[in-house]
Amino acid sequence: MAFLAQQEAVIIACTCGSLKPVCRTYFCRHCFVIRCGNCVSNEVDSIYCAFCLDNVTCEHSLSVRSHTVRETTPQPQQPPVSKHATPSNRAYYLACFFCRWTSRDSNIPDQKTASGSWPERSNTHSTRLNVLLDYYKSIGALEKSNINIDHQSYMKYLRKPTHLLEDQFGFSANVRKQKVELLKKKNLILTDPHSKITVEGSVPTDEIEPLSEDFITKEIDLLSIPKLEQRFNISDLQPDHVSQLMPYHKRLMVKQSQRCRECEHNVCKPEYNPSSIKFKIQLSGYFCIPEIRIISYTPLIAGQVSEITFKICNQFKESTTIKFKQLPPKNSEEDLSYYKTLKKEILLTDNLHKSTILMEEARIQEVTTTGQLDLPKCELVLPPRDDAADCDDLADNQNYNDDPKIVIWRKCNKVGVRMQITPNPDLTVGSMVKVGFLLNFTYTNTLSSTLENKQAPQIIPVDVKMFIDVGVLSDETEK
Amino acid sequence: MESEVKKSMTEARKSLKLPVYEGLLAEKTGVVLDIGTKYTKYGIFGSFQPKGFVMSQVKDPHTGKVRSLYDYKDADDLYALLIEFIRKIFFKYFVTSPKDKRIVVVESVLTPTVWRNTLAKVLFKHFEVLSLLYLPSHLVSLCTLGINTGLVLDIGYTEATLLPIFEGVPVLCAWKDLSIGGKSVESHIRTLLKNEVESQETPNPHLVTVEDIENLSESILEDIKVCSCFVTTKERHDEILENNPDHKYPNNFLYPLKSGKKIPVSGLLRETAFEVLFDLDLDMLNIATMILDSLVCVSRDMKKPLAENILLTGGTSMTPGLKYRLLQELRALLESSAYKDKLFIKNFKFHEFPAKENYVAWLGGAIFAATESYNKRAIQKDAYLNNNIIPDWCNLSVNLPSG
Ligand SMILES: [Zn+2]
Ligand SMILES: [Zn+2]
Ligand SMILES: [Zn+2]
Ligand SMILES: [Zn+2]
Repeated sequence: MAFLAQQEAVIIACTCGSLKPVCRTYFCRHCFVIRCGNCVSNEVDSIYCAFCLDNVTCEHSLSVRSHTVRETTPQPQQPPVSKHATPSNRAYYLACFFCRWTSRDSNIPDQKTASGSWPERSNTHSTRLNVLLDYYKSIGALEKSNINIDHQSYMKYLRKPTHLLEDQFGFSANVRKQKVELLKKKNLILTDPHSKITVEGSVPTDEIEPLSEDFITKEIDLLSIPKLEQRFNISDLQPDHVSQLMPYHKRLMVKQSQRCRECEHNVCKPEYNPSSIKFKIQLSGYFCIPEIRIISYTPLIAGQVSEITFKICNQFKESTTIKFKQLPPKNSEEDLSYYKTLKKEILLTDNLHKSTILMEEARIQEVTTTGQLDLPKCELVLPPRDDAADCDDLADNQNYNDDPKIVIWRKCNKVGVRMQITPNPDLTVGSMVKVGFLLNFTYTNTLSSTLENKQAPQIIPVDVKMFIDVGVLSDETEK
Repeated sequence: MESEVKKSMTEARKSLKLPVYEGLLAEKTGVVLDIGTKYTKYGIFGSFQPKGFVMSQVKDPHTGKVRSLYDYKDADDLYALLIEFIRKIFFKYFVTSPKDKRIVVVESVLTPTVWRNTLAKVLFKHFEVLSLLYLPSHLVSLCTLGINTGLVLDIGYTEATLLPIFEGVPVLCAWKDLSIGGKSVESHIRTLLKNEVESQETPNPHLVTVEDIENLSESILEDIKVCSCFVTTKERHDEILENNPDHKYPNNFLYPLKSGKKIPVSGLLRETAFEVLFDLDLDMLNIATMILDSLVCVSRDMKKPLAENILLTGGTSMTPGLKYRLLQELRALLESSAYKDKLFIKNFKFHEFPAKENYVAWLGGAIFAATESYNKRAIQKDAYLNNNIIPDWCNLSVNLPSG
């Protein structure tokens, strides 16, 4: 089913301007607009381990280690633990049944318990880096304090763009003096023995280790050289020999949920995490927007009228009335107002109401249609989706005043519609005939009727731009 | 009664907004990104190594083709690519949402404005991050050493860029760049391989053909480069130039492909692939002359301190033998007529990083981000949304607290 709907022949324009197949869209039940991946905010709903499918509460999934070998064989995610030594003085090490790697190969000491607490490896330079980090932290703190006025005036001086040019044009004596003074003051603060903010800078050397003779004399053993990918997994060591490879943490996976950016309601919330299962929310556009599929068409010839049959299907649990309209001319006011996404202004100056709704400009994807569709003027009423009626052959009691020229058949929530299509006369053979129209359907807001004051259900008309790749233009002479 | 219904309704609405899982990032911390032309380094504020490396590429949401972030057509195209990329970084690698997170982006000083602005727009408007700070990569590299004067040469994938920094101030007029790097080495390897395959007299069915070499993916060329090639010494290079018959090349080997065919990689290729970095181009430039030309540009009292504080960063500079050869080349050039009377320096000195060269700039960003200075300099969300302006880099970079 998803595959059928994913055939990108029928594309709809999202409120934000992106073009998506209908199954890739959402319909917000609160703002009554179409949303897509580009105009919802993604959130991390739950985190899980891809191998045991447990969610993050399984502590072990955080510490599962693995390693890779060159020309990777399937990697075991949780290497089986083997027992070793006598029962009284047991020690454990990890061993991989696939490639015979053991934790001893990487010089990881054996552990007393089988369940782990395998030591975390720390960066080999961490002592030095901690010193540096402390140094820059204290400079940062110093900079933050207000005592440092001289420093700030130095900053002010530097912010002037002129100092960037001074090397090019030489210092004017005055500016130079100013700079030296400032630097002196600044260094005074930084080297002040009372403030104790000093660090031993790295000492440069001119004694560089020459190229190892091994490169010239030794044979290349590809199996012992790790690939870049494997080196990057141990980013601080980046070993060049497989014997130095270390186990590394496996990544957890994330289950995302989507939220409408305008009203902040969820439009999609997966049920993965057991704690949220009762709140499964799935507002896919597929279930709200009438689905259009091409059934058949007569050969398309440039400038000539052909016939095309669509199946229109209402997947929503309420009935809907649809109308067809021509697309508004490009970049007209009407067209632009269609993309009304995230129109809320940000109220940042008002401190009491600090709204965080962001404006993201619509990303309008241009579509050029290459054919004209003769749109029916009449309205079509589609009954709600009823899975039981689908199996019932006798349910076709037709009480709809359909124009038989347009509606050629009806079955439950589906209707067959015939239209006339004229590919543009200047179109070349073999190119795609693309048509577009504005589909207006009614959405019945059941949410308001059940929760609020028992009103009659609200019926909201919704416009959606549809673009259809009908097929390629055929050759007139081939007929 | 009615008010009660309303109350219960608001309760129901509230419960619809379920608590958000905070992810694996602690409250006060943030994410440092260094989006290189080939690899992006990502990690957490104040940590000492990146959480990971990932190729700077995404699947195009429309065509499904893998595209490099730097191959963007225009700002809108880049916007779409960056959204996909940032989403991947956060939801896949950090297992968290970027919303309300602190971000540091380490970038080259000459990053195009469109790139910087688009990235800011993606982060603030699409992902609603809390604050963002751009840090110039050459400058923050100094933070990893605790010094404030240095000549930083970054040899990356597509280009080598050089910027001297004196007492914490970048000497922009001595900026040099050259479009050589890992990529030019890889294309040189392709040429060498083609020559080798063509020169074979009888075609061997087990070996690759010229077409195979032409279609060889970049990742295989990269792998050949990483696993077997090195920068040879100047003496050995001179031997090769003289066609010295006593010169003993390193061992050949066969690189197996998935198709079952093998690529013959000669010792000559292994030893000379990296020579593109040292060959003088049409303008008589290579990575050694970049350093010397830059030293010519700076004022006389800066020359010695800069020459004795050279920092070699970038993934390509990790190649075995590169630093040694560079020093040899520098010393030889110093004696040449072109530089002899211009430089007044006697020696060159290099720094050793407490890190691997390919993430030095990232590390500098991570150290800087952990200080109070971050909050002071970062662009806050509100400020960005009010005026949509990203201050130019010089406003930020020169404010570095590097003494
Ligand atoms: Zn959208
Ligand atoms: Zn698990
Ligand atoms: Zn294994
Ligand atoms: Zn909404």
